[in-house]
Amino acid sequence: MTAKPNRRPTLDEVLADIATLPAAPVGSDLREWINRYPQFKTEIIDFVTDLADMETFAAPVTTTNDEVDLIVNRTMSRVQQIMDEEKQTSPLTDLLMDIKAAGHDLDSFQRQVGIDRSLLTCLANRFVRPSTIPYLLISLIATALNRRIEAVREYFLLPMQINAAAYKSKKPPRPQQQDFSVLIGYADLDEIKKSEWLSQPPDPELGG
Amino acid sequence: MTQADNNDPYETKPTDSLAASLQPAQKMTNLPPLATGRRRPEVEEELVKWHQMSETDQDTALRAETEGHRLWSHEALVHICRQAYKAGDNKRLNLAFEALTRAATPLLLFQVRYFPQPERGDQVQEIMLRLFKAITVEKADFAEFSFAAFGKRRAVELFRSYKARFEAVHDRIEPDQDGDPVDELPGTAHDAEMLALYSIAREKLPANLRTVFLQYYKLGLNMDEIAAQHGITASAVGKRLKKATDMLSHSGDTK
Repeated sequence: MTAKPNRRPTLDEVLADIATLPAAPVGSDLREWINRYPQFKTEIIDFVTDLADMETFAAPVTTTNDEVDLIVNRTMSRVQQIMDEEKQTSPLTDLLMDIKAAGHDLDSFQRQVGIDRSLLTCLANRFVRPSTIPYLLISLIATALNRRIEAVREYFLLPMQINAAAYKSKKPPRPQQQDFSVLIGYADLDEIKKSEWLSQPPDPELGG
Repeated sequence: MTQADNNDPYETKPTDSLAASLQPAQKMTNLPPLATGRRRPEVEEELVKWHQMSETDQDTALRAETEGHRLWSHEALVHICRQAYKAGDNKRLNLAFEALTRAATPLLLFQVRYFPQPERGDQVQEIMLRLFKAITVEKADFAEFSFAAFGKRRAVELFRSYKARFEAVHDRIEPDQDGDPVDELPGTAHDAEMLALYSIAREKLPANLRTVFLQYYKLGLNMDEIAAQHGITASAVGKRLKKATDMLSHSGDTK
């Protein structure tokens, strides 16, 4: 199974092979393994001894649904914690991908944060001048993505993202970052929401 | 020498009506090959069906799995988790891993049955977390090749760790000097009666006696081979075997 034709298998691969057997190899079967991999004789015998010990254990096993539920809930709680920790430490490099990874679709994310698709696109491509982005928006994005605020700030400080077609064109466009307040003017939001955003102070950590 | 693991009582196959109702695969999807070998044909077939489903149907199928319906093999679920992780789709990863955990827990509980009952849940959780870690570092090929074998290997690791923590404390130091040959020792390896006694009363034996006993009666190694394995004399092996069989026989008599 794990043996590669052009090299000698590692101990890990040999033990993995043994684990795929229906039962621990004994007698002549075990000797065949040892003869084939004499360099791992000690480890093979140790492994098979433990395997045999486990298999010989005769206590009956009864599994209840409650027990399974408990294990699933505890495991998933820990998995979620691991995923959150991993996410907290990894840099944010693709806002749209991160939105999906956080379990949102774009519409639900927009609703949660209080922006429209044009603003989201501008934010994702970093067309918004960082020093003009409100702290509240940074904070809401970080919360929605379960990210540190610093990770979101770092994302908006990266260079603008221009699509591949623009790079290939003979006269590539030279977009410039716009103030958040200008983009709010074009957003498909009601006037009350626009006013709320315009009243928000920019994030001082981004130079606002 | 290898063969698919097919004797685990909890290794179930996707026989649910929903899975059965799926149309046969029309063409093979380009599944990434595994570093550890080829997937079983039935797993490949499952995955072809999986990749032909819409995302909505995939989510529906995974939710059904989390509710206890067995639609997919463990290996297929490992593949789905790995795909979700590679795509950065944490929502799908979470759903698929929950489905896998629910499907795999009965098998893993069986594989860690030698642990005291209150600890089995912890051990199953530990195996699943090791699998999750393997998925996140792209080292889950073996689990996708044979989940039962993956569980068995991790179970052996936990078993060793458990022995090291709790059982070594009770080991007795056996004198290893040469002595008289042990005439009373039963000569036949694989002695079914002794193994039956062992399965009932293994906990009565200290670890060093247990190991020698198993290697002689279960694995069929001779005393010289066992002596070489432990760095002791064949005579010392004989003494340990005699002591172990006496203890087990006595245990059998008192029952």
